[in-house]
Amino acid sequence: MLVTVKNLSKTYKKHIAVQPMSFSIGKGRCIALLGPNGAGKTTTLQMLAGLLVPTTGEIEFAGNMDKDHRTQIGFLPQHPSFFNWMSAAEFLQFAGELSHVPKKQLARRIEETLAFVRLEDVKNKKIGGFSGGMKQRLGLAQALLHEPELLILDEPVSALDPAGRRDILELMKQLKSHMTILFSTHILHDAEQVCEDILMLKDGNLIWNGTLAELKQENGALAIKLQTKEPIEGVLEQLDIIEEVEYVDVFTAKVLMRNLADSNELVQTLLQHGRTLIHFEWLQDSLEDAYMKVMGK
Amino acid sequence: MRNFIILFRKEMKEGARSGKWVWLPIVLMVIGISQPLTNFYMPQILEMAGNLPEGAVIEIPMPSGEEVLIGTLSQYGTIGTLLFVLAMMNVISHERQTGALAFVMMRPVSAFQYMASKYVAQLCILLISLAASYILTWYYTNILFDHVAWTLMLASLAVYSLWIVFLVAVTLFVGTLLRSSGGIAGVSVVFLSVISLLTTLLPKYMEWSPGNLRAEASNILLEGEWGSSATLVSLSTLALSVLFLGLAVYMFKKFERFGE
Amino acid sequence: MGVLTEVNWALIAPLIVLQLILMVFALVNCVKQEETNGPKWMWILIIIFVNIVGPVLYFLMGRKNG
Repeated sequence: MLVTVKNLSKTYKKHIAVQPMSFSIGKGRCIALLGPNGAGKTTTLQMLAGLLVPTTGEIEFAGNMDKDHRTQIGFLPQHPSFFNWMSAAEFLQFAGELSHVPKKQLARRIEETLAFVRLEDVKNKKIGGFSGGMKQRLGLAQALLHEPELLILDEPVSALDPAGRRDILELMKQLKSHMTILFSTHILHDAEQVCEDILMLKDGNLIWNGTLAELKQENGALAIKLQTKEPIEGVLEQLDIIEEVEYVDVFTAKVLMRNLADSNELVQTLLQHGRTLIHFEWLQDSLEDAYMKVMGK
Repeated sequence: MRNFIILFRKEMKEGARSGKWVWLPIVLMVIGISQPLTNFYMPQILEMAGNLPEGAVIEIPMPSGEEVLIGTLSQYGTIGTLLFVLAMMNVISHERQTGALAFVMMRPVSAFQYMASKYVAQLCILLISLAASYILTWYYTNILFDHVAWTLMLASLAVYSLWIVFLVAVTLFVGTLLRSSGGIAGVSVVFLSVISLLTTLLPKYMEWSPGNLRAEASNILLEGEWGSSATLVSLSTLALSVLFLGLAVYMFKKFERFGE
Repeated sequence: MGVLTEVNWALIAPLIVLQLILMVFALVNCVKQEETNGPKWMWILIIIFVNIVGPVLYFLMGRKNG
């Protein structure tokens, strides 16, 4: 485990922003933090990034006894606001120096990250004149600069236009292979595209913690499309592993399963009843169904 | 220490890019040399105003060079103080409001390093502006009036500089209490004025007050020597500045949120 | 206007030059600024016509992001 969070909470005067929560982040994983607006996503991320003092709880980094683990984290705030009078290269120089990146290495890292986020051409331009997408890419660059172990991104794509969004998601996919990433979003599709783990927040409570596959398995109503040579009707109704059947035509049915593990039983039953299976397809349900289900609980 | 230097360099660069390193010294120089010039040309100015009856003779005693410099210090005490506070009212609040502060505090920077870099950088800009203005004014005074020894000029400048040391600490501290630049400037100016006012109203109880610095600096010019009370006032001003800076660091640590 | 001839312009000139530098510096900064607080032409007029105070006001409040 890279990070272990125990009993973390945040209370503002009377308002409880984040209820005590515990979870851990495995090294090399990509975790999406999901939840509606006001669920406490930003608060949680800011506490992890060391920008907000938690009311209770601990955040432990593997192999770091020190309380200050800001050197191990790269953070992109939700609305990055830079020193507009600096150029992109100057800002990265400033950020890298503050993170104690050795001088020689820093010059190389600045070139690398600028190339990675494709801002080399404008590196000497003032940040004040940058577009939203450029600022977001610069924000990503400053978060990566010191090669942190954990990259925390707060709503990295929600303020961007479709092109800028695709840019950032592509960059995240490339980063996944050599960095642990935790990012918040309210766009489920984005989470599904890049992440394997999901944390879900609702009203400051952690209501789901697990892999994306598990989430879909446990909460997604799994649908299977079946087509047989013989008319299919008459067999499926007897099975209690099935929640719902929808007939497309005499030979074709869409089946909603209670549990993914029971799909073999379904096929066996069909064969036993003398049906020849000519088409079997998992209708991968969207994360949205699972999300709504968990949120609704 | 390394972080302090990085942050300090950034503050200096910001001061240069925003033009503060140009406009503040110029404005202060204008305020400074206006004093000997208006003193010198007072008869002509009155004549130009033209409200005098024909044949009236204006007799204005020529002030001494020391008196002109004292008048200049008085200008610094009023317009100068206001200008200084206004020039640094948003050094913290601006970064806090925009959220740029998050980019500093997400890195291993301590509250003390951050505050100290702001303090030293602002002090540099203000003191250099003040010194440039005062030395230029002294040069003018020497040409137009009688000669004032450079040692006295420097000694009075040194004592008066402590007022700036105090002013920067107070304004930074107020900057950690309030969010709006206007509020920060207002509260700082009112606080500094009240201190000055109380010092003149209750001299008995306010011997330690930084409000006495101008009087001490004037005293050096007139008497040509370091008054016995100057030491007390200087030491108490330094102590109070350290206290306000400490309070500023303490309040900064208590910021719950460094982001937006 | 006998008064004016009594004035030593060599002494006054630096004062005028300083004010001119300040005004030009503020004007250049204002024109280069992408966005000002309030209309730009208003700030240009303030800088030109309000001696000393105009440029100071501009530097203190005229700019969007300092």
